[in-house]
Amino acid sequence: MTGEQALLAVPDMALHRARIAEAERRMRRSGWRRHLPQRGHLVLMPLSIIMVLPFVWMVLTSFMTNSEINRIPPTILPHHLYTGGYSMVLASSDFPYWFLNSLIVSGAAVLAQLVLCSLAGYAFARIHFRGSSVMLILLLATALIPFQLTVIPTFLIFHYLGLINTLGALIVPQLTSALGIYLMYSFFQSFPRELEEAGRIDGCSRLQVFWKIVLPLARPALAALGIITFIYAWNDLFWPLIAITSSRTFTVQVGLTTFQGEHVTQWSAIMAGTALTTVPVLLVFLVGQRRFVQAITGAVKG
Amino acid sequence: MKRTALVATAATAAFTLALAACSGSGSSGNNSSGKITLQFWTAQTPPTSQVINKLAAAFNATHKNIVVQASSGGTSTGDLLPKVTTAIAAGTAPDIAYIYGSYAANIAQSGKTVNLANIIHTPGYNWNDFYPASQQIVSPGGKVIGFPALIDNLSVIYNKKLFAAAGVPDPSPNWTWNDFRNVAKKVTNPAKHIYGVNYPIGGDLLDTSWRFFPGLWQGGGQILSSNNKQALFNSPAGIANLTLWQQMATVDHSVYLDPTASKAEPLFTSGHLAMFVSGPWEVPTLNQAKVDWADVQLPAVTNNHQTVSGPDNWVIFNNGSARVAASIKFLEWLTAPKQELTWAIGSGSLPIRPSILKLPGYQTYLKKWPGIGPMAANLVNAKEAMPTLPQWPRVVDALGNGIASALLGKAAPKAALDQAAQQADAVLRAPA
Repeated sequence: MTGEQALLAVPDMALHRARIAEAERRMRRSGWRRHLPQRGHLVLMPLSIIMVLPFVWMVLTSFMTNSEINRIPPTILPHHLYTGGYSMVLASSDFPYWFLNSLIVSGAAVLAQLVLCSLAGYAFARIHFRGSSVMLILLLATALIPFQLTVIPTFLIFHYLGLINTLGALIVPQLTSALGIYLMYSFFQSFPRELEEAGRIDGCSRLQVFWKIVLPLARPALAALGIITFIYAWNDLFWPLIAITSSRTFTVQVGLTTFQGEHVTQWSAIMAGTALTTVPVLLVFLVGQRRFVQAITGAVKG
Repeated sequence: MKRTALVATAATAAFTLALAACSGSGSSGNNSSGKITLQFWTAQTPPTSQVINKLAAAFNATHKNIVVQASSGGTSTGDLLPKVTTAIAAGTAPDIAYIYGSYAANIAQSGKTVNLANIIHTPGYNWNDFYPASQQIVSPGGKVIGFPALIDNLSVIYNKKLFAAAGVPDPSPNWTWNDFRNVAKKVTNPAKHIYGVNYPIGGDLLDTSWRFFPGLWQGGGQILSSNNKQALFNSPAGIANLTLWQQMATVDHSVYLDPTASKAEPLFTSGHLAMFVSGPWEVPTLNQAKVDWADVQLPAVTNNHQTVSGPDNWVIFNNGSARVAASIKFLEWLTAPKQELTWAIGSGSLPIRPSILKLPGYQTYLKKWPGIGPMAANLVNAKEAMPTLPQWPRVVDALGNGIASALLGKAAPKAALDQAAQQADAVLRAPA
């Protein structure tokens, strides 16, 4: 009799083994069930398909010829993989420059807003000085003025600064924003003072408290602000259209409008360019979506 | 804390200096070497932008004292307008910009444009070699604000396969509007969702209106009075013209009324439209779609096949006499027959001067753009230009809405045109 046979011969041990096997089976079954659609999924799955459909159609369209795109009734799948749209965008235009410019402008805007809006928001939330409430209201009121009303003075300012037709003209207006400051102000308003006080007792200066205690805990709000700023800066068209003239200084959004002529639109190129343009925005959202949702949910809960 | 503030201030100053250091590369004007740099906003999209850029480079290579910096200007023509007006308001207008003919009067009002009226008739310009419609569009109120940039016209484009399937012979160039109506009725096939012809009734109402003008002119009518103070399009010629289209739309059901003004080309290339009234910009798309198509001049009321043209302009802005002189020199070169032929071959635009049709290279143009020959020949029928006045876009809106209501059967042609004329008169009476 081997050692194992000897163990099995003991009734308690056999029972114990059977229980373990049963538990493992249950676990496996529950894991399998976990992947079955729940009731909520029956609603969410069709909704997610509806949400993703325009993106899929855009990608499919980017591989069609203009005649296929314009066909009535519409063509869903390309007859063959036409890459002329991508060739036109990548080889016959300054798209690589446009893409890089958009990345620089959006990246600079995100960095600047994370620093400046959080500082300003923290100041409004924590440092009470004379007229701070009025200043905050005035600041928020600036968000109500349509940009079209201020475009000529803005253009003149940047012209006098010598920034027209440079990326500086696109970066400077986005260094800070009323919405960003308010978003951070709201977050810091609900931030527990006790944590800051504990830091001060331990000998931190106000800036050290801000940098070492407050900012690390403000990551969800910062992520939300970063995503909002990136998407806004990436998609902005009107001001870059006015401020930039040279093709190599265009952002992607301005560049893509050059495929739309007086009578003829190069749909295939526009769709190819838009597909390439959407990728970074999607990546930013995918990377930061958890924090983005956290921040929004937090804001709703107030 | 003070040290941090100092660091922050220094960082801000460094950032501003860095931005300022990036600037200045796009400036224009006269530099120390005596060269004049011109900002040339072309509003062209690829691939035609590449053709115009090459032409500008060729000019730069042969003219040592002028540097033309060609750029689309930011975007295509429609979106270029707010950019140009902002630049004018800020005192930073380009030297030359491509502007729609319909905006010529508004741009001329800016006070920033030049007036070349005194110099264009000197022999070197060959001004009379431009088609009359182009000459008129670039001269709002008698002020010549630049050079003609583009000319087009309307003709009838038809699907030969659909005509053959309906047993209808190709239209004769001498056809009448009654022939046109009969053909449209015969080729219409509701079972196969095939319409005889289209008419845009929405979107840009200039599209709706300018298809109405040829029939109006052919019947002896006018759009406005000679002093541009009164609408005359509700004349018997206008009513007869609109009545024909209304009968086709509401009785024959041979007209596809397009509320988006964008469906004609897709319907035509998909075999659902037998004819459409359009211009040379369709040629590349139709050839790419491999449709068996041909084109013919517009039908006539009585042997008059007059068509309409919507020319666009190269507008020169006054950035000082030296730069204006350089701009004139460049445009004189650019619009010369040789360069214009290169432009036409590369872009598929119609020749802007009649003399281009006699150049040896014109055959190359015809070979490269099959089907464009009748459109170029049709330019002789573009005898009149649409009015150029600041209120024009609003006049067009009033007329376009009137035409749409008649074609939809909501109003009789006379009532629709009378109401549109009343609205247009009110617009014309108001200060521009």
